[in-house]
Amino acid sequence: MFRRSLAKGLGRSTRAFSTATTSLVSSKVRAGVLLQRDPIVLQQADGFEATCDKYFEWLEYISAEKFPRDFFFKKGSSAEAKWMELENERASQWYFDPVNKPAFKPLKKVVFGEDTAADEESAVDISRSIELQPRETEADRSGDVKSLERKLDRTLYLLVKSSKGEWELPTGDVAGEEVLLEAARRNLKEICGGKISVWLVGNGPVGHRKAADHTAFYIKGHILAGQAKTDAKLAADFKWATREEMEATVSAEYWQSVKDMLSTV
Amino acid sequence: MNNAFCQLNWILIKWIKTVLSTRTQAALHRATATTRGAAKREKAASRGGPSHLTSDPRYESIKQIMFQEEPRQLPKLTSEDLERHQTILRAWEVVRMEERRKRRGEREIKFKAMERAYEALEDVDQRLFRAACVREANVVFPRQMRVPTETPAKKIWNYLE
Repeated sequence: MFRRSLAKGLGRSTRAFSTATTSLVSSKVRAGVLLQRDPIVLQQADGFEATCDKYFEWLEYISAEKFPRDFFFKKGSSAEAKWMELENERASQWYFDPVNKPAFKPLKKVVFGEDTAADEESAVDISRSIELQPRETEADRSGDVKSLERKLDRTLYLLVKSSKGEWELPTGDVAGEEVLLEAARRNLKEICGGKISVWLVGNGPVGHRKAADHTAFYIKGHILAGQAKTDAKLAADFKWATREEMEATVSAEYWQSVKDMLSTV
Repeated sequence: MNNAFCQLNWILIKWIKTVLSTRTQAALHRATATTRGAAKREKAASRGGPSHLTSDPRYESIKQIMFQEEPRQLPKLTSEDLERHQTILRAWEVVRMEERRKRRGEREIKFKAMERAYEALEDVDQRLFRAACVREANVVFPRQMRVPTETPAKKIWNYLE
């Protein structure tokens, strides 16, 4: 459906044309980049979805085949003890009619007198080596809008503050015989510095904005590594904003041109 | 009598094999061929020979444990339980359907924005439009692009320092 409608539009350009633009409105073209930092962390299921997940997990558990415990665990090992703890917890759950609830028989742990101390220590060591990092970072707590480590489950977009004090996407002019992609890449490098690794997608724009004296076309880019460092002459400031923060920052008219390019996540 | 019949059979089979296509021959070979030690093991087993040539007793116990035919104990549901289960399933499906619709709607909005941009570019500058319409072959995602995970890595972002 998408491919056909774009192909129809492109079919129009097969007419003959001269090299010079003969449009009535001689608008200047500017090339900009919609630079996004993609989510680093998955969206967490909450509310109804989380409860559903628990229910389906429990259903699978009670319908599963008998677990060959002797095959997987050595008798008296710490792994077996951990599994038995988990089993005792799970066996007490029952979401159906309590009439059919099976009798709860807690599994007894086999205790070996000499080895328990060593086992506990080794268990603690193992758990220390696998440390899960928190989803909320330092940048989240401090509210550092320049940081790329903020809001890990959302998409962040780069906004720069022009010399006039307006927040906008990094945009610049198209020079000489450049094409949009080259112009966008050059403008981004000039505005945000060289220590930034970006993947610009495709050759054409994902959105545009028609202003009084120019039309700006935005090419989508994903930042892969590095950080922006704005050139003082071209941009006063920069920030990485989520969709809602972008709406709050840019002018209402700018937002109308730009909002359709953005993701909700 | 039996010997002559066997010999005739063997000759017939040999002839049949020659008229089969190479593919069928290969398939036949795969189905009927045995490993080099198989005949030896069979013979040893039939004569009550050394046990290390026949199957290891551990194989039997492993097979028993892994492929035991104990049937699954499906949960016992009352009629209310079943109704609750079906309601949960239906609600889950509705939620997923809504999510899919929302995502599709978002994709359509983005696509239409791209279409409008291309139309505007065509009206403004033909040279840039033609350059924008070039479709690169064999485009791939860059390897540095990471897939989102449940929790972040110890080093969250590479600053290229």
